Amino acid sequence: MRRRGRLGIRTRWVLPAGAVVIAGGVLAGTVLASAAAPALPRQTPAQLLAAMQHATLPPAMTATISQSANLGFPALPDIGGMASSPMSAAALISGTHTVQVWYAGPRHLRVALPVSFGETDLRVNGSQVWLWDSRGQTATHFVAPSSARPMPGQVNPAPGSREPDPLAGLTPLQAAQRVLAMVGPTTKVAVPGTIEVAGRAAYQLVVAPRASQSLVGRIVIAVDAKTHLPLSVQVFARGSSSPAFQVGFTSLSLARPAMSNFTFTPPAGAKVKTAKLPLPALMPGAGSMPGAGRLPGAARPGARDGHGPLGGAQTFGKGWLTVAAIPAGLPGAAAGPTGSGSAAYQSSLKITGPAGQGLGMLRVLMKAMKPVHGTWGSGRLLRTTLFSVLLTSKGQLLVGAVTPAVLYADAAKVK
Amino acid sequence: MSTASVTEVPQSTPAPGAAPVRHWLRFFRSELRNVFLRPRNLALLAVLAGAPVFLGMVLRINTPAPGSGGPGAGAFVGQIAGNGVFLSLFAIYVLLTVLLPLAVSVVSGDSVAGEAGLGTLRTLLTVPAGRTRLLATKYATIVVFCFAATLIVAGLGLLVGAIFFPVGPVTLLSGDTVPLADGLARLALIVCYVALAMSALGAIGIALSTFTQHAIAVMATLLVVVIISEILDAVSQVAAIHPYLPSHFWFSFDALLRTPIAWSGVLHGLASFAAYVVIFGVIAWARMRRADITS
Repeated sequence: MRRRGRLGIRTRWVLPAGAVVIAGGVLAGTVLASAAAPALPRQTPAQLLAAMQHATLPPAMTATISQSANLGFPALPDIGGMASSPMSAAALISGTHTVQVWYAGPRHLRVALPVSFGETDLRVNGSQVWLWDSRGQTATHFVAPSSARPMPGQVNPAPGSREPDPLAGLTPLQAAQRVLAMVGPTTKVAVPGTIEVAGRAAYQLVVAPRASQSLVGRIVIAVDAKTHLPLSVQVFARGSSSPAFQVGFTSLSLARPAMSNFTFTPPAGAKVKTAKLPLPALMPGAGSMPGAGRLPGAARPGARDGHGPLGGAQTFGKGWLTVAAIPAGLPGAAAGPTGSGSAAYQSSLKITGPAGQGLGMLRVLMKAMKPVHGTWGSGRLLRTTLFSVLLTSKGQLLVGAVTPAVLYADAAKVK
Repeated sequence: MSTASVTEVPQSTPAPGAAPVRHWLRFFRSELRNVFLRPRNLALLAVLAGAPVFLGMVLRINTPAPGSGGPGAGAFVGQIAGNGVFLSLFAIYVLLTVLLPLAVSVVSGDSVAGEAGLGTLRTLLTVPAGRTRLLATKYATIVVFCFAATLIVAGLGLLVGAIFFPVGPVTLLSGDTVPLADGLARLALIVCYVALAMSALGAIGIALSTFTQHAIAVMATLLVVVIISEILDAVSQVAAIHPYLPSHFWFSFDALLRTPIAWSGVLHGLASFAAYVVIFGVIAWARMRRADITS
């Protein structure tokens, strides 16, 4: 008491200040990922790319995958609880989402989407496939085909494979795979350094388009030094220093998870339904989960055969300048007067089919679309940090990670 | 854990032998009596106890269909008819928004400022304990109150739930069913988690309480802090500051209702609470050492 009593005012308040600094630092350390650069032998981009070609999903893992997007969209209202569902398209373009994966071979998988006081679980145990939704206390039993599934999540899946991939779009693998497909003469590749992701040492692989019309500035992939698995993928818009989209492991253990993760017995009182596969059609947004299913710039070649989330699409351009054109409903929908966002205008745009869920949201974005016209015709344009969307008066929706000028040029080619 | 961080502050008077411990215990007991026998606090506890009873009666009369319910833990509403344990969880969720923080605000705001306002703080300081120990005792009392308040809500929720509804194996958020004993163990962990969350709020309260003689000002300030924190936590545009908000991790106890338990979520919450206890504990300590106690 006597000794402390002599402490000056300044000395005394140093302690609380120190406590704030230390506690803040510790808290920040637990909240933010540490970014220490591990020491690894040098690798050239070519070596790294070659190693990644042969990387396959480990035989077992327990992982937490976090996905976040900040695409510069106008703030979206929560339409019909859309944004509150982690699997909705609206959730995918804004905010941060976490997915947990327990994996022990293609026939044993659990994917959990935890939300506040809720959880959606997909559990695959041999031929038993269950989807659990805690919100409605519903358990859906999928009748799986008896044939064995192909190895999911392989970096190089067998071409022409039409079997549903249970990990489709979930892991950074798919995102990286799509990015690697772009590597060619239109792309710059570099390995600038190393990074630690989910407690594992990794190389940083930077992939950047050469074309200045691309809105993608660069894509940074963290490649695990041991397994050459992509641990995270970050997409930066041109001229931006923070990622517009990222997906990556926040924790990864290659130990075999407990079997209790895969088995499921519907709890008493739950609503039990039975459904037939294919799974992606029944699990909302399964094909568009955090991953590159939606990765702008990685316009998928599969979209043309109606395999992608946007059925019936045409594509224009190559590589980074690929633009997808989707028939978006009534002709002349966008030709109306510029009474921006009138209810009649919005309701005139009727979208059905597999693209419905993703595109339904676009109706909400109408308000943010500016009327534009040119030699190609007229329409409405939405420009975000990472991609541009053009809805033409002919009812075509053009989407690409490109400047509007590229969309206008492609709009002229749409039949 | 939360009390330790305050009591670890070096004691000015060395305490060999059992006598100081006995003194301290007597002081602690008298503080507990003060808090738990004050009519105002008893009324608060009665309100907290009444809420689960009221919720239980309403849900008994107007039983919701299974699977119905609103966002957040509102989803528990649909499960109450099948298992009374969920009434306890639902009561904790509902009261954690305002009523539990309100009770903690009242008690912690009163702890130092109330004594100063009544002019009894000076008398208290004549107890041969030292201001640090006085503060530690005051805070320990608040922590006990936080545990008591949470336990009352959970316990009465469980009791009323068991009276009005069937009780049995508990369905977790992940869809797994665990035996009742396991479910109750998880409920006990949730009570501890929520009580620690409230104790962290109590640390802010006692720190504010050392700055004024007006307990009511502390109560109002703390409640405003809680409400602003909860509002900011709901605004996604300021997501960057969310982890630093005092209320951000309060509702993370849903991690204890998953299989396997998502410990990382729980530990983030506990780290946040510990940080608040340390920071505001030290602020209260620094303020107490300096303050001229004239009343």
